[in-house]
Amino acid sequence: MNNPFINLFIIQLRRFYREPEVIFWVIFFPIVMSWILGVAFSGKTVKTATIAVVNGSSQIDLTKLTPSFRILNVTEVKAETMLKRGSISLYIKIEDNSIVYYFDKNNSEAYLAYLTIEKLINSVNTGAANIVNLTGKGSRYIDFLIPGLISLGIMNSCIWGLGWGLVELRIRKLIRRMAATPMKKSHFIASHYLSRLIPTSTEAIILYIFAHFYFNFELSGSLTAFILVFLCGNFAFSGIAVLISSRTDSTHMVNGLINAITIPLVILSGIFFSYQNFPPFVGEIIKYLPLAMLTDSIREVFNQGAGVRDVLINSGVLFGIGLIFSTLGLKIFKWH
Amino acid sequence: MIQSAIELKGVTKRFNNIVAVDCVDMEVNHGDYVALLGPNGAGKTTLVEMIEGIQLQDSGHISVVGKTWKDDKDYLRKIMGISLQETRFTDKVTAMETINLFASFYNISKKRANEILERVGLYEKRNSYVVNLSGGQRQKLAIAVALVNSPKILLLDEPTTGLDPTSRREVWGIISELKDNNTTMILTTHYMEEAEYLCERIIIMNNGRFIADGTLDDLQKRFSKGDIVEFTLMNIENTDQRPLINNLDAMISIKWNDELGKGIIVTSDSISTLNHLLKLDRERIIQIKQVTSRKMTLDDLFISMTGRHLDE
Repeated sequence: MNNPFINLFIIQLRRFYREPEVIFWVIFFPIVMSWILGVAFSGKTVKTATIAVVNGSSQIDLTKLTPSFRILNVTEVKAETMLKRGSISLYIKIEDNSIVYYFDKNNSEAYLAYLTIEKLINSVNTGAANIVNLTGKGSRYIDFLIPGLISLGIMNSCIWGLGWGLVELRIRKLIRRMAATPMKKSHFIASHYLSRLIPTSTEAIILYIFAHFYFNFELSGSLTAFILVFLCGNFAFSGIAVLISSRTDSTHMVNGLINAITIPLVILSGIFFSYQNFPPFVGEIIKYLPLAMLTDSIREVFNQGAGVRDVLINSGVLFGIGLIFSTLGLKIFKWH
Repeated sequence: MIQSAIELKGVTKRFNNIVAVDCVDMEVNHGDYVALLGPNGAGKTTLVEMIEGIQLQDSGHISVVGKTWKDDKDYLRKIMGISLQETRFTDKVTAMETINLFASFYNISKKRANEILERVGLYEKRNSYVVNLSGGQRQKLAIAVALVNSPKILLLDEPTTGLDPTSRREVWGIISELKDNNTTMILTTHYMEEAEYLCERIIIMNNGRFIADGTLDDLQKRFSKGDIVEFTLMNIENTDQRPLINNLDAMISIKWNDELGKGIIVTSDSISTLNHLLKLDRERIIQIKQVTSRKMTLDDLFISMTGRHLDE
């Protein structure tokens, strides 16, 4: 048997796994990214801020600061230089048994350091503060980050992989050569959509396995719900990719188009930091962006125990986006 | 009445203000091998791509085996084998996989791939990635893909452009072997020898029109009446001598190549013309540096018609 659809599908896979650099982007890059960001923001390592002290040998007992801060005794000139270079964000100067703080008030890190130092120096015993450290599953930064990275992976793989791939086939005049045979155009497009699932699911699984064993990241909701939203997300971004690549036969053009679409989506959609930090009315708009919808739903499934019902609306909208963009893209698609 | 394999009537195609194909009529019989010969930009590719159904004519009528692209595109795609100019198959896919892919579009089994690879001499390379094939091997692969469905109509657009002479000969061998199979073929080329070697019928195209059409013999009888005498003079700069040579015996026409100081004479009797020319030299009226005489070629014909070389 020599089935055209299977052949088209397998050819896409071969293009994928025969390129060694793909392994890097699909396997190592997401792991390294999640590891770096996860470690940086989730406190796997002890974070100790460094401060500089001028005239340190005074009566004020600075030892109270030591577990929280690394203290460097330096001259004022040296302290200023360090501040300018960014190696410290704050220095203190002891004058007449009182502390003078030097820092930029707009720098939240420095301000936090100032408040902490004040508290440590002035209170005899801070006591057992009523702080509940939220490190339970589903509420850590890493729990926020991993679904974001899975979602980002879907978008990038679909738009770059499919959009760029189609333009490359057009430049090679292969689309036009294939279109001159009895090949069914539906087979051609469907094989591209379907073959994208291989890298996107590989990437998602690898990210999950890594985060599960390294950060104790877990799926709290329904796997079916995740698969549903995952498939709809793939379809949405594949549709967008087809529209992007429907006419152009220039790599510069497709590069520009892809960046113009993906960069704003990444910045706005709350991949790395919540889009709730934007003014509320902006947030209201952002939550309907395809990448935000995909990310939010994946987060709900992983962290809030969401089931199929909870992700139905977003999945439906993503599916609709895929349908509209695919239809538009194929309508104007340049086969010749 | 037996239908023609390919029939074109008043076919015109414009791109913006440029007329690429200008009201062309053509009839190709079943089993004919036709060469479309012409320089770059003559309109060969546009014409062939309209026959292939890849481009649509602005006006005129095209039918292939009596069917049109509008009504019978599925059928026509099945019976055509084409090789486009500069198709680059996917790099990291083997020759065998590439042929299998195309075979599957025609519902043809995988066995065909081996057969076709043998035929074009790529069997040894069947498991090599396209990226590792030489230019000639890639071109053979393109022809193999064109042949995968045993096409009734074969359209090859510049199948040997850019190949070295050995590879070109090999590709010619493959194409000429197909003649037994009652395939109708149109081949575009700007190599005169290729047209002469592979095709009985040659159509010369320039600026979107056919300027000559016939067998090589026909064309030579009709257009190249006689031979060519080429000569160079000692004093290239001295153009005063030229009028002295305007009226040689048996001479039909003369063209001058100013850069080389070369005169190209078309003559009905090369011996008379040569005698006359050498007499002028003996009498010291002109000073000849070099002189040759030969049969007229299609390239000469083309130059005499358009003032351009075929491979320009």
